[in-house]
Amino acid sequence: MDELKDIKFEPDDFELIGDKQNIMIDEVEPARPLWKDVLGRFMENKGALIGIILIIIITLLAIFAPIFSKFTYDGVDTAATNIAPNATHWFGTDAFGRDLWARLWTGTRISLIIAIVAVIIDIVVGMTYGLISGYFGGLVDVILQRIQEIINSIPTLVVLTILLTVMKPSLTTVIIALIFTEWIPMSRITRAQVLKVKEDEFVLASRTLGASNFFIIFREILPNIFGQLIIMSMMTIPNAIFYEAYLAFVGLGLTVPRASLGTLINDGFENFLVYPYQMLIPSLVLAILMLSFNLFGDGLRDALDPTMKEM
Amino acid sequence: MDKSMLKYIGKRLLISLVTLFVILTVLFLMTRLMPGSPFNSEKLSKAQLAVVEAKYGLDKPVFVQYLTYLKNMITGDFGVSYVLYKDQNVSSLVFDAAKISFAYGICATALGTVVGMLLGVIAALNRNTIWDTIATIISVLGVSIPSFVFALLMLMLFGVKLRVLPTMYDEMDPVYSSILPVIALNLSVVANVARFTRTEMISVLGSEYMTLAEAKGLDRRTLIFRHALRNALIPVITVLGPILVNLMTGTLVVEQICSVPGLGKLLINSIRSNDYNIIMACSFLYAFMYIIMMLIIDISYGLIDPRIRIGKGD
Repeated sequence: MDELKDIKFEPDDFELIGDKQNIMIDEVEPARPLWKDVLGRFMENKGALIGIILIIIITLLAIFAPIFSKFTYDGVDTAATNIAPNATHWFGTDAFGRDLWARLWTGTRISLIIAIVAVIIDIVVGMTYGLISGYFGGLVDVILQRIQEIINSIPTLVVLTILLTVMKPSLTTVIIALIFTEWIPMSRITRAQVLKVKEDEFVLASRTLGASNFFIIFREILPNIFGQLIIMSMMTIPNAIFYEAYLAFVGLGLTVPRASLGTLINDGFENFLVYPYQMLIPSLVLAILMLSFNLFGDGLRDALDPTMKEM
Repeated sequence: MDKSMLKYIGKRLLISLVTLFVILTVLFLMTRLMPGSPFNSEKLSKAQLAVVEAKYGLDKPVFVQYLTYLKNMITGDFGVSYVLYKDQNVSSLVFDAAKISFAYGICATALGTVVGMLLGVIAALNRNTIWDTIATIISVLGVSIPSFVFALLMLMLFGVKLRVLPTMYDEMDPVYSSILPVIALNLSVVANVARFTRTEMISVLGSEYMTLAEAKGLDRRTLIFRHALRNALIPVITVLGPILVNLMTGTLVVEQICSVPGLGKLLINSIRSNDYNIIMACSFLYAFMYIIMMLIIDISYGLIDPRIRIGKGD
């Protein structure tokens, strides 16, 4: 004890380091925001990157090419029919002398509109339906699920047939048919996800604190399942695009002189032996568009939820 | 087969029946209550039109017509064609067309499933090699390229450029002239099955019972065929449902391209000419097939893998 008495403490023996160092921050594994992780994983995926680039290019062309073209999609020129691609008509002309460059990109607009419509249907109808059904459960769930099962067992083709007995073939008819059936996979995924999340502690905590149903659904549950929902809606896009093109192809979609990729392929099919470019170019654009959305959707899935990645 | 399974099957059957009834009723009401008639295109005077409508019973109240239709339908009589094939029996028309379409569908599914499985297994066994890449590319392309674009390309290559296969359906030689459309239909099946088989196969190969089987000293063939493949193929049944449904839409367009006188072509033509009875019979058949397929697949999945409790939380 005597030795201790000899030690003198000066005021500047210890210095206050303040809160410059925070033990709460892990320096070995620094925290990264989720979007950085997602973006990083996405950028690593070459296929997905190619997909998004192609989608951007096609979208830009579809928006701007018809505006800056000298020709319109329905401008008939009987002096210049069935011209092969050249400097004036980049993709040639069809049997009525309509410029295929202008027609192609106007037609692509339709496909992109359908893509947007598909996502909107997914979110507005499918997500809402799934959220209500999953969250409230009980009788509401039973009734909604029975309705869903009945609608699910009606093929889209039959829905369209029913509509066509009443309406003329047009884009609106196709969209109504899509509204009727397109939301079902989305609502099922949403419901399954809600069922998984709604028993979690954080939801219980929120409820104990007196949060309303509205608050719990939109601020607690939705942000936690949103990744899955984005993936799902991306997956429905290629399907919807295909469906529109396919209906236009069999003559149940858009009517002349309006162009969509499906009608262009159909028009080109009529004389593809003589003028193969009329059919090949729109087919190629359609295939590339669907491929890009597929690649993009796959990439997004792997990036948002690596556990879902196919092994 | 336990009690809950029977209950489940019963419930599904009931829902299917209700759905079919709803479809039939809506279709009937839509076709009958809407303005316009199948005889619009024929230039008939009012009196003639009345005679024609009386002949087909179209002058009676809709409800009476509906009851007659239902009654006839149960005995397999779907009425007669109004426009497309004057006064011919719809049942036999649809039956003839359906025979061809179903044959195509079954061939394409069978062929596609076998090729797809083969591709998937090869890809899984040679993971991350050139074979795997090739299989992946084929399946991505197969999912992305619309069936009708593929059919057109095939037609152009084999039918026109190389001239090895007939491009049109030929009643005299149905087998040879069906090669092209069946292969065209087949692609999406191959792609989907290959993709799914690969995933399943890889997860089975990584499982513990495979390590055990290997540790027992089994040879590679028994290992793959007896242990891995069997377990990997069970889930593939689940994807067959959506695939068959896709195929139904696929046949519609491939039939159009290759001029096959199948169900899809009949339906499209009847929609264009307002031939109500054919529209109804075709749609009803489509819906019926679809519902039966979904039912069989759901039930078989439940039977094969009892761990899956169907109808609960998906």
